[in-house]
Amino acid sequence: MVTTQVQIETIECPRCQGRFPRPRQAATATCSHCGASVTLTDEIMDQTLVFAGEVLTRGKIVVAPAGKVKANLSATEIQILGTVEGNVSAVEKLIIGAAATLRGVCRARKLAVAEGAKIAGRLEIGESEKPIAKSPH
Amino acid sequence: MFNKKIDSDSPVSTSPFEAERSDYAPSNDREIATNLSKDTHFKGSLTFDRTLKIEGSFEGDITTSGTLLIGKEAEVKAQIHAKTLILEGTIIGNVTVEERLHLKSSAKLIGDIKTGKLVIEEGATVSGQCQTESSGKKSETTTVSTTEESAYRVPVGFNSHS
Repeated sequence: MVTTQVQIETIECPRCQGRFPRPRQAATATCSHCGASVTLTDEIMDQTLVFAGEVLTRGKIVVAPAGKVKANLSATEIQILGTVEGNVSAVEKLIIGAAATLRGVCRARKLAVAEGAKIAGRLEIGESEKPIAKSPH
Repeated sequence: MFNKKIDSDSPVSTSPFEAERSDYAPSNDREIATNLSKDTHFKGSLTFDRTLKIEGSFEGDITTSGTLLIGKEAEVKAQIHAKTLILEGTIIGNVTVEERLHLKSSAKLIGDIKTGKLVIEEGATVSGQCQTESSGKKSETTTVSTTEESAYRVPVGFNSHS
């Protein structure tokens, strides 16, 4: 009889920052604290996308220059080079490129904005800032 | 409260920042005409036309058609209207900038921002509403189509490159 061992690791939820266990091989996991479905891979958005809810990933979200996204985004790191309408929450770093357009609430520990970026909304940036707990969209 | 207009011939002008000029210099290489040094505490309304650097503390209103530089250790509690603003220290108050607002990595800004162009270096602390404008004329708004014809609806957690 062959037994397979499931490897478990503990990860941090990009929404509530609670730590929870997940199988190492899984592509998604549900946070045991806030119930969020968290994607564990990087997301690259390079087309017009409309999400009904929010995109949660423990990895990185990149909105490509051609990307037009209407959604709430939460990730460890977010890079916006295209257009985003929605609340954006990065556990670590949020990078807004020169050709980017962003409308919504931005929360991140660190923010870098290139000259030419168009922003309309609220900025909450700094070491003490926590990701948006629940994003109304 | 009093109004004070400072120009390049003002007696408070000391210009001791030759070494820092390249770091601070606006694109057209204007000189820092006036400096409010670390031991200066200014309260009131300040108007000037060229370039001024604050390294001390300031409370009140600042209006300029020139460039305002706020040094690392400066603390400014003010409503600011400027053509160009470069921030390394702290501002508590609303900021309106015609052309370019540059927040350096040590900057801390608590208040609303309205600016033509915005540059933020990693490490800066910002809290408030932000609105950038296109050529200083019209508010920028994002346009994301929500019609079925031009947009794909995809489930949450969609990974286009997995």
